[in-house]
Amino acid sequence: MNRFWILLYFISIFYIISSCKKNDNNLTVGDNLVNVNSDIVINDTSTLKTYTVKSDSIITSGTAKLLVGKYQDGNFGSITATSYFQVGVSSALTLETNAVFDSISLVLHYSNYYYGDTTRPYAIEAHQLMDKLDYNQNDNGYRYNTSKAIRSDPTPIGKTTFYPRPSSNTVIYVSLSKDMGKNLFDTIMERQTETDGYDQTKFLNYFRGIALVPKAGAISSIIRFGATDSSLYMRLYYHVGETSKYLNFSIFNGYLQFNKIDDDLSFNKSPLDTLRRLKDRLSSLKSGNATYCQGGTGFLTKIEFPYLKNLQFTTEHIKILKAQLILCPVKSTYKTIGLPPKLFLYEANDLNQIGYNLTDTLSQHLTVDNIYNETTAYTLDITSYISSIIQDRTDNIPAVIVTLPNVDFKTTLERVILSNGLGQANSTRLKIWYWRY
Amino acid sequence: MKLIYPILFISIFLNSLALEAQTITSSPYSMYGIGDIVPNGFGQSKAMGGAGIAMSSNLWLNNINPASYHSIDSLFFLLEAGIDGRQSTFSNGIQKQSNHNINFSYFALAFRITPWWSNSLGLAPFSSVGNNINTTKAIEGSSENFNVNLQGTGGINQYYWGNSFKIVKDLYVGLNISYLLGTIKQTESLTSGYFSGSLTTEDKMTLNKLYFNYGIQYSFNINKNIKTTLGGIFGNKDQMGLKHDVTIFGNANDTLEHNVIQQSSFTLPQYFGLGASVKFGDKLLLASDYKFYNWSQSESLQPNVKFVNSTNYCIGAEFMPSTSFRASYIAKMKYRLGGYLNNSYLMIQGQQIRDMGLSAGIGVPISNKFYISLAYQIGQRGAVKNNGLITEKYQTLMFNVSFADIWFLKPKFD
Repeated sequence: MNRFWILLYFISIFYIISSCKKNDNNLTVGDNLVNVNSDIVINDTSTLKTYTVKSDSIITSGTAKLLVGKYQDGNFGSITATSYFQVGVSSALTLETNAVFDSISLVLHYSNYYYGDTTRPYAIEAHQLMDKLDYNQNDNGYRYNTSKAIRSDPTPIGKTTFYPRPSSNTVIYVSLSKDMGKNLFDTIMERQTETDGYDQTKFLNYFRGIALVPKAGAISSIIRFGATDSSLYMRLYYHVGETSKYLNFSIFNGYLQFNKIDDDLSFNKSPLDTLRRLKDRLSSLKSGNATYCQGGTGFLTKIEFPYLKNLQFTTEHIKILKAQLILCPVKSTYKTIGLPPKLFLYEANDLNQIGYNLTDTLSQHLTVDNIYNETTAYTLDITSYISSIIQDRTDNIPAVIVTLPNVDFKTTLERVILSNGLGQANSTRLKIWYWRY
Repeated sequence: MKLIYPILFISIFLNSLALEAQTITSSPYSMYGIGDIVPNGFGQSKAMGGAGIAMSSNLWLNNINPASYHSIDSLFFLLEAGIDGRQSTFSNGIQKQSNHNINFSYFALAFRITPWWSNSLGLAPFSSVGNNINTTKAIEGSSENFNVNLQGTGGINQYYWGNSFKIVKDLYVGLNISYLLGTIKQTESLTSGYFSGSLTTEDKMTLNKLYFNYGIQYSFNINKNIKTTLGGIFGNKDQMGLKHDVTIFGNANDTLEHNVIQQSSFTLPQYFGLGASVKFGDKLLLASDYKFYNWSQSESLQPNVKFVNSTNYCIGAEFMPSTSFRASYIAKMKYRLGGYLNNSYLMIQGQQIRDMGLSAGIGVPISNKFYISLAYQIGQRGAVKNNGLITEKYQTLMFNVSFADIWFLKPKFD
C-alpha cells in the first residue's frame, strides 16, 4: 500500500507541474523565413470618370440673402445676379399733420460674401416692380435662380456706385427718387384717415416691390447683402419742426424674396453651355480634363467608379480598411476666387439625381499648397461608402455628386474646378487600403 | 489488493486529457508542416543520445522499435510516465529571447500476452507547435510595411499499441498501430498605422489518422558475455488529410467569415532505421542508430520552406558499475551518455536545418519495483550565420518514473 501512495504522489506531482509554461515571446524574424498568407494593398489607380452636370434649378427664395451684381471669367461665363423683394409695414402708417418730407433711401448691409473683383467700382440700380410678387405664381411655393424676371419700371428709382467692402460693417444708403418718395409721402398723408388707415395691403398695391440689378455694362463683382428686417429696408425721412423722423419699410414676406442668377456661357463658347437639363452631362475629357462645381449657377461634379466592383471579382476575400476620395482643384483656378472650405458628397444615380448624403458620416479636410500649388486637395474619407459598394452585387455603376453645402449652394457663387488628368500627379483620385485574405 | 491498477488507469486517462492541450515546444521552427515532430524514445533512450532501435529492456519501455517489447517477463506489468522540461534561447543575430516549458510528456504500460507476444499501450506526443513570431511584410503599392504576428499552438498526439512477436528464437518482429489525433491552431494577425485594431486569420487544423509502423530485432551472442542486437524500423509513406476550420476576424472583432475549407494533405514520409547494440554482461551497453526519412516526396504547403530528405545519427552508452547486490547504492545506479546529429527535413533559404547535441543521464533504483530516470540533453538547432536563420540553443531535462510489478501469478495447483 505504501508503494501505491508513492506512485499516486508522483502522478499528481506530474499533473500539477505540467501546466507550467513561460514564454516571453515576440521574436522578430525576416519575412523571408515565414509565410504570411494575407496582404494589405494600397490602390490609387482606380479609373474615375468625371463629369459636369447642371442642377435643374436652385431654390433661391426665402434665403434671407440678396445677391446682386455681375462678373465674368473664362471658366464660368458671364454671371448676372438680380434680386427681387417686397418691402412693407407691419401696421398702418401714420404721419404727423405738420410733417415735411425730406428724402427716401434704400438701406443695405453686407453679408460677408462676394464673388469677383472688389477693386473695380460696383454699380447697381433699384427699380420699382410693376408686377406683383405673387405667392400663387410660385412653383411649389419657391422661386429659383432660373425663375422668370419680374417686370419692373425701366427707369430706376435709385442708383449707386461704390467700392464694395463686403466684410465690413459699413451700411450702404442708396438714395431713391425724391419724386417717388414725395408721392408716397403725400399718399400716406392723404389716406391715413381712411378706414383701417394706410395699411400694408394698400401700401403693397401702390408699391409692389424692388428689383436690385447691376448697372448694364458694369462688370465687377456680385455682392451678397442681408435680407432681414434689420438688414434690408426702405427708409422715408421727414421732419416735424426741428425733429428728424423716419418711416421704415422693411423687407416683407421674406419667402417671396429671391435671387435670379443668369449664366451666359456663349461668349467664350464654353462646353458647359451644352448642359440644359439635369440628366445632361459633360465628360471631363471634353472640357479640358476638368469638371466644374458652383453654387448659384448650379454646376455639379459627378464622379463615377466604373471598375470598382471588379475588386470583388479579382480577389474573393477583401475587406476595405480605408478609402479616400482626393479631389484636386486645377492649378490656376483658385488664385482670384478662393476655394470653398468644405464640399458635400451625395450618392447619385445615372439620371444625376442625388440620394443619400454621404457627408454626414465622412471626415474631410482641405490642404492648400501655397507655395507651388501642386498638392492642393480636398481629402474626403469615404470608407463606409466604398465598403458598401464592394459588397453590392447589382450592376449599377456607383457614382457620387460633389457639391457645396446646402446653404452655400443657394446663397453664394462659391466654386471649384476639379482636375481629372487621368493619371497625372495631382488629379482627382480614389485611394483605397484593403486587406486581401 | 491490486487496487492500484485501476487507479493508475484512471489517472492516466485524466492526464491524457491534459496532454491534449499541451504545447511542448516554443520554437519558431515548429511553425512548418505539422510542427516539430517529436522523436520517439523515453527516459533511457533520451539519455543515450536517442538511440533505441537495437535496445530491449525488461525494465524500461522503448517505443522506438515495436519489436523491443520481447524482454518483458511474463509475470510483470510495466508502467512508465515522464515529465519533460525544456529551456530554449533563440537568437536571430540581433535579439535574444528565451522560453521554458514543462510538460507531462508520456506514459506507457506494457505486459506479456502469450509466450510469443507482448504488447505496450501508450500515449506520447507526435508533433508539437508553439511559435510566436513577429515579422513585417510590404504593403502592395507602397514602400511601407505592415506588422504581422504569427502564433501557433497545439500538436498531435499518438495513442499507440505496440506489439512484439517472436518468430524464432532471438528473432522478433514488431507492429505498432497508432492513432494520431490532435489540433493545431495557427493565427496570423496584421496591424498597421492605417487602421486601428488587428486583422486576424485563424486556422484550426485537425487531424485524425490511423498509422502503422514496423520493426524487427535479432540478437546473437558473440561469446558468453557479449550479446549483440541488430534492429530495424520501417514506416510507409502515408498521406494524411488535415481539416481546416478558418475564421477571419476584422478589426472591430467582427467575424467576417467562418468556413471550413476542404482538406489539405500532409504526407508523412517513408522511413527506415538501422541500429546496433552491444551488451557486455550487465555492466555496459553501447548502442548506435541511423535513420533516414524520405521527406522529399512530401510537399510543403509554405512557399519559403522546402522539405528535403533527413538523416539522423545517434550513439549512446549505459554503464552500471556493479551488479552485486551487496554493492553500494551509487554503484547500482545506471549511468548514461550519448550524442546525436539530426539533419532536419526543413530546408529554409537553401539551408538544411541541423540539430545536434549531447546527452547524459542516470537511472536510480528506488526499490525493487521503482526506478527513476533523469535524462539531460543540451543542443543547438539552426544557425544564424546562414542567411539570418534562428539559432536555438536548448537544454532539456526529462524525469520519468518506471514501475515494474509482478502482476501475473501462476495459479497454484491444488
